[in-house]
Amino acid sequence: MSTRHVLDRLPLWVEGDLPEREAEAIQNHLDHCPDCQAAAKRLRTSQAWLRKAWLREALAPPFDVADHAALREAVMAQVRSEPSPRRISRLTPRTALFATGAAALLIAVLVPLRHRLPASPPQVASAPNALSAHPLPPPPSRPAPNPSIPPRLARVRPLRLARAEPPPGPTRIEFQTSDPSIRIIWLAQATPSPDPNPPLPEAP
Amino acid sequence: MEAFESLMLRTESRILTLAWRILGDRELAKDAAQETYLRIFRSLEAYRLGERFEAWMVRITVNVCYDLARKRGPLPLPPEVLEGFGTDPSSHEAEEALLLRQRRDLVRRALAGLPEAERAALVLRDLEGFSTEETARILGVRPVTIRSQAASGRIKLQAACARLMTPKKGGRP
Repeated sequence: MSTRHVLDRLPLWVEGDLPEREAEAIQNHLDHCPDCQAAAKRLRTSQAWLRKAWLREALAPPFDVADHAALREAVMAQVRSEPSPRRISRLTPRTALFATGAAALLIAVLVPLRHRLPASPPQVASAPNALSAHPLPPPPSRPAPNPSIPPRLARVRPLRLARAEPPPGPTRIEFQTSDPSIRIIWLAQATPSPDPNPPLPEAP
Repeated sequence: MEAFESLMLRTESRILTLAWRILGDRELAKDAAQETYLRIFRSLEAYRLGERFEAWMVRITVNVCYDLARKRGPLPLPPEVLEGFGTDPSSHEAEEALLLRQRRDLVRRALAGLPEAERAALVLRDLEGFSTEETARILGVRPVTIRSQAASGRIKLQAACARLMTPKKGGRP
């Protein structure tokens, strides 16, 4: 540090933006380098001017009472003519996840059921009775379920919990019921892990 | 409405002054303050509890100033800033007062001539009293960026002051 100039570090040093150890090293260099001393003095002077100008403005602001009143009047006139800002009820990520999953589950259950109802009664206990009152004919190409096939429980594509960040896009979870023509598909949007130091939202 | 007016009463001085420091133009600063409060009113629902309200307002002010500064373009150095440098004041007190006023205008104009990111970093960090970390959060950048921008702004400010204070031929600084 003592053998080379520190001009590039002076703008940080002059406002205390350097770590303590580096600031000490620069101070040691300044004690023996007239060129850097002069540069540091110029920087300190311009910063002092900047602050003096600011202090003077703080003591004698460039805006008087009339300016303040005019500003308030203009803003309040505009604000009164606009509708009051209202709180928008937003879904929390957890609620949104639940709602999305429930909707996908409902669709996945109801769509195959809609085609299957006339052939055989649904094997899903929660199937709505209203649908069985108005059954639709099954598509001709769909094969009938084979009763000899043993019931298969859910085939789940597991979530990779060890990942620090959720995978992009929704996670697809599939459940295969004992009936091969009924498959439950759950599209779940994983929520990211909470940021310990979240950035400020984009100001308008 | 009363609450919003009360908010204005408490903060308008700071918002006006901040806009003036960033823009370097009195009339434009008044426009910026007006637009800032309208944006604040329209965005109140976006404010998150727990966030520093002051920092949120300052961030909106800076954004409004950026928008207005872009529309306006670079600020020309008015001739009156340098008018007094070659004059010979009649008394010592008048000379002192003149020099003080000239320096103030000079610093303000030098500040207004900085790139907007450096100007905002310098105003918030060195004049408004925010720490480097707070300034970084307000402007939505990393602290190391603020250090770099503020340092660059300080260098340019010093260079501008030195250049503008250089004595003219036949005059004095």
